[in-house]
Amino acid sequence: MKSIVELSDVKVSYSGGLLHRAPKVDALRGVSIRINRGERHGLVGESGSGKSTLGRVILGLVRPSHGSVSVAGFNPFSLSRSEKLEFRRRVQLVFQDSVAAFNPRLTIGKSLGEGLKIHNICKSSQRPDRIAMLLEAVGLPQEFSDRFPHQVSGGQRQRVNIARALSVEPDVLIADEPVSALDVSIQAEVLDLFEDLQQEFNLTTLFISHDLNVIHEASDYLWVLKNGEIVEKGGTKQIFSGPEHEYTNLLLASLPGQGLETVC
Amino acid sequence: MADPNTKRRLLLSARDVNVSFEVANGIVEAVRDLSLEIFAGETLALVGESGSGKSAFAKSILDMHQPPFTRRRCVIQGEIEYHRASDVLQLVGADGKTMRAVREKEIGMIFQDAMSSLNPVIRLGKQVYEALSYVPIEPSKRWLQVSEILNEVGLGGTRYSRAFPHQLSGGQRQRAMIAIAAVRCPSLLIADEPTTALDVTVQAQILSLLKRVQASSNMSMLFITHDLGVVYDVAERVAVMCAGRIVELGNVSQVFGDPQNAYTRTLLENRPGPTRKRKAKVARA
Amino acid sequence: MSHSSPFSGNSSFWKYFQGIKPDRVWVCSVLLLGIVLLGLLAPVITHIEPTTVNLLARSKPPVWYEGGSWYYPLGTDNLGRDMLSRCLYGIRTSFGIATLGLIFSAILGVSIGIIAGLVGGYADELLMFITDVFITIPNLLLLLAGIVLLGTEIWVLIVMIGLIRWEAYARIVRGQVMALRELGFIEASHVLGASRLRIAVAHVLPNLISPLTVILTLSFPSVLLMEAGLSFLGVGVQPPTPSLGRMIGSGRDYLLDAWWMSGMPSIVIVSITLLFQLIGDGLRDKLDVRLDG
Repeated sequence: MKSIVELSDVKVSYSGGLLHRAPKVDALRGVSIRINRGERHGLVGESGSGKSTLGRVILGLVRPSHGSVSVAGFNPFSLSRSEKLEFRRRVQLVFQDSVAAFNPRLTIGKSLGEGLKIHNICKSSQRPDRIAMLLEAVGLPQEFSDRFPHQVSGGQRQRVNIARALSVEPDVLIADEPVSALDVSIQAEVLDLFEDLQQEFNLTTLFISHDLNVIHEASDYLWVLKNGEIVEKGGTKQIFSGPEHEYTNLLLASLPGQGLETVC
Repeated sequence: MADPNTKRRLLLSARDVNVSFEVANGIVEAVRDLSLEIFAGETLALVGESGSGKSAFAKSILDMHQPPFTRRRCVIQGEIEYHRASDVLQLVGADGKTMRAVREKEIGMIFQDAMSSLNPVIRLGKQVYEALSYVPIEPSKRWLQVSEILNEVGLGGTRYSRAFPHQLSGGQRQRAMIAIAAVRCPSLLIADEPTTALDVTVQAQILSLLKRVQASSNMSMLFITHDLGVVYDVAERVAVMCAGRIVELGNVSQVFGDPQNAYTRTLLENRPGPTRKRKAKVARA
Repeated sequence: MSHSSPFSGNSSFWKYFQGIKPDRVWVCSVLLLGIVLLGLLAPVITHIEPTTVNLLARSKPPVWYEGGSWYYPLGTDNLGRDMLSRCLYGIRTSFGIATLGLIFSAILGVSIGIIAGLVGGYADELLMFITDVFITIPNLLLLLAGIVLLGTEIWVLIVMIGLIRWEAYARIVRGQVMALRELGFIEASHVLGASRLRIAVAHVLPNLISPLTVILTLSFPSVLLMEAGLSFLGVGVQPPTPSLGRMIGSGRDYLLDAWWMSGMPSIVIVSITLLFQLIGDGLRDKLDVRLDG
């Protein structure tokens, strides 16, 4: 199988600007990752582990200081103008914070239409139909198109968030803590939706989260990140049943409510 | 099943508590007809999703819906009685003097956001020391007590007592908050989502610290959380809240093992993780 | 279950008062609009030219004084020119210069602020360095230098006022843009493939409108006063064109005998300034804008 995301020995370090010399922070220290087309990957780590940075490297938003990146056949850091547009269409992102992820002055329909407009996905006359289709795909009624982001609930907004990412028909979807801000019952709905859409659109997904339970549902392959390094990788089920690295072990042991299942 | 009523001393009892807020376009009834009891030495978890009213109730115990804590108009109705060794205090509508006495000696509170609960310009040791300023003990013994409690929460040594809050990690700040709350030896600690902002490994440490502190001082705890796993780890009894009401109340093993209420069942079934049963795919037209 | 609301006792009472409470912003806006209309309709309201000299009717008092007449309701100045007419035409001049100057500085400041905030990096540091340099130059010195070099034409005044004000807007807008940039929707748009220009026009600018409205409203009085101050010093609008500042300046020698020569234009300036300030304050509360750049 051909890999669609390939990172080898990627290092990222943040430093201050021209006039403000801040100490250098190593966010990633030599990370190599391979994701094949159509697979569901999970990336788990605690705060400061560099998991969000890794997602942003794949999206071409953070330039690594070392190593090579290849996503959907492109190097996101040396793209021509036309390639850039094509790359943006094929790699998409679902955010964590669903409130700030939308322009408060645009209706949901307008927000969903932006990607269609930029990439000329369809004729402008067909756009409303297309937006209705997208809303339907994430289980929302057509009327949502006229609402503003603050007029819908958190779970609904996160569905719109997913719809916006899907609007440009991407191959790769990076989801950065997409359910962390949601209530448990809504988390479950969004996770189910995610799984459905992954199959329906034949997406390659990288699901980034700090929550092992969430990751367990959303991935078949798992990468465990600690202090900018991958400490364990493998099948999600294998890692959950027999973690090899002591850090993974600690993460699993720290999960609250061990034994709650036996009571239920 | 042991009945706590017969064995333990009643510490706090709430009867038919209603909490309403005035908002721009009307009134929000955050808590409706809530009744519960907390006994000495036990941990009661108040669990619910966002907007269920669990925090609104906790804050109404300490009358924290009034200025300077908030600018919104709020009305609390019902009875919240706090049972001291000698007398019973009515906390709803209590005067400032009573509330101060309760906050200083009887009930402590810790929050999710430890950073904003700590004064950024005062060293940690001094902040813990100031928490003791109303407690009638000899000044010479105060610093001893401060270093003792800091040792107990794992922040021993001058390295921590001379540190400013921003120099501490999130977990250490929450430890500091626990020290500040526990140093006065309150009979009841209200913990409002104290581990929600923390990493899972740090959360495990803080939970075990809370349990240790509670055991050593025979403190009761009202633990507010949205995480059923955390409830299972820390609490003996649980009250499940939904839309301002308690929908189920009982021992943790009982409620989780045989939930009587549909909402409790939904919460339990929807916990993400290996055991969740996926619902059938949503049919689309 | 019928559960009576704890607010029901006085909620209708409250609503009643909130219903009829005249909104400060609206009242002030209407009053201000009235003043602007007075200026615009000056030729209709008064038939006396502001520059017509009547040496027989010098320093006549307003109508409510003994010796005043309805022909000159606000009296005349030391050359017998109608004060009412001069005040109305003065509103035109002063308001026009202040508005155009403000628009010029807003365009300059907002563009630079958006570029600095959105592009970041070296462009940001360079633009903010230039801004800092401009802030250190004393305003009056810059104004006087410009007037000495370019003359006292009205467009020179407008440009110079613009050049003095822009740095404040650039700083505030940059701050707002930096804060906006942290919000997910700017990044979402970027990931969708939007160009920087598109992000600036479709996402940043609309979200700047509320803070900008407040900033511009609050800074209008100081621009108006700047023009008035320059004219008062004699380096602003040149005679015989009536300007409120110039009128105050030329009336100061007659303060004891004919206070209305300085007093009438002063009242106009104070009213305009006060109204703008009240509107700006009200808007800031209404739009919930925090001005920290």
